Amino acid sequence: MAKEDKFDVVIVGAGITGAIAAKELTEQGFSVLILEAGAGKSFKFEDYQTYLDNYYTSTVRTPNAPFPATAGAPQPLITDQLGIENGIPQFAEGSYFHQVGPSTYQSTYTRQMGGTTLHWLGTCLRMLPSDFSEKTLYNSGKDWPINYYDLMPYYRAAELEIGVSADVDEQAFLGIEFEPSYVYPMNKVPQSYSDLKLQEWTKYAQFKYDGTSYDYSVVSVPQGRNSTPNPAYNNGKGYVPVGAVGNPDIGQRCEGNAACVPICSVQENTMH
Amino acid sequence: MNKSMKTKRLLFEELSAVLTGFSLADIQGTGLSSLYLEVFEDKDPDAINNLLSAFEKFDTESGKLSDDDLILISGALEDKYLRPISQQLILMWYTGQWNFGEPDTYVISKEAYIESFSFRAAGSHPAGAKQPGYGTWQFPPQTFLEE
Repeated sequence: MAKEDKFDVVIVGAGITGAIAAKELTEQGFSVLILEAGAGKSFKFEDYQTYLDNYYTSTVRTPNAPFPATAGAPQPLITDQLGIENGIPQFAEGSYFHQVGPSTYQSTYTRQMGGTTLHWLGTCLRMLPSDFSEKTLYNSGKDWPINYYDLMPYYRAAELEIGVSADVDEQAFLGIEFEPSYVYPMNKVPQSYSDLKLQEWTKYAQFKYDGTSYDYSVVSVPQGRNSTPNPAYNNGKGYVPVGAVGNPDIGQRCEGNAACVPICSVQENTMH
Repeated sequence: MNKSMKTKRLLFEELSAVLTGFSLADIQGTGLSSLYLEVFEDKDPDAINNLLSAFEKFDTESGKLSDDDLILISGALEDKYLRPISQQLILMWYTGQWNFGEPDTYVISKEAYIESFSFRAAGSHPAGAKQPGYGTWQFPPQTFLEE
């Protein structure tokens, strides 16, 4: 850490958003201080091994199991939620959230350096162009002040930062468009056996909605986890994935650990 | 091997093979039998010694038991003293945990989780360890043929 006591920018929270903001700012010459209340135990490969040991030895392997809270940064846990009784949500004593409304927040997040990307599933879908004009198109919700095309360069930047795996042709559905030469940094993750079976079984099936018949379409989800780099990325310059923290030789590919959540043991889907 | 020459550990391993349905080689391959035996000796030495004595008379070494032996073993498992410790032993191999109810349930060690038989019985692998490799999720499920 620099010995300065004055910074151009102070960022609160060392999650993916804070980290990317800090990267962009420092690249432009600004000095940045990031404040993180949780433990900064994600810098070394050994730190991840400790996270894994926490996971292995937990009797209840919840999303936060590998990442124990610190006194200064308590965090919401799945086990805080005790269901709803007589219309009133029940929470365990000492829960992080104080929730009194009828529909409670039913998920968790992690307060550590790296944030919730530590136990992130890696789903990187783009929104549909129609999502931005719901009011105009369907008289429901609200229209956004920006549209899909405004967001396209930011989607590109985020997909590079995360190293998203997907196939442009497969993702160009329901109005989603890409720049003519664009490809995702990595090829799509091979679909699972059950996905392929579902695809096969629904090939000739249709469903009816409001008097109209529709075909089923089974496509893979763009993933923030590593498949194989696409050599066509960046006009043929290709893309090189970043390996695990402190051990770049592993994490170049998804190894099928069945543990993206809560912890990828080769860290191919975590934010560095 | 002469029965009298059997170490307590080997007897424990043979007993574990009989009770879990996994082979002696599978049991020994986990590298966990000494640790598990130690846990039992620490938690309830009388119970594990009684169970080992009850099984000592069977020739479990080959992994193949006679029908008469199986009937006797089934009887032992109905015994009110031997039954809880037998269940605990089976659960230990399948889950890697000491399972005598909250708050006394705990994972014996990280290796115990990684080597636990429940994943192998399901034709799977422990989440976060023993990764099957890139793209393996596209393979058809493993099938087990009857011998």
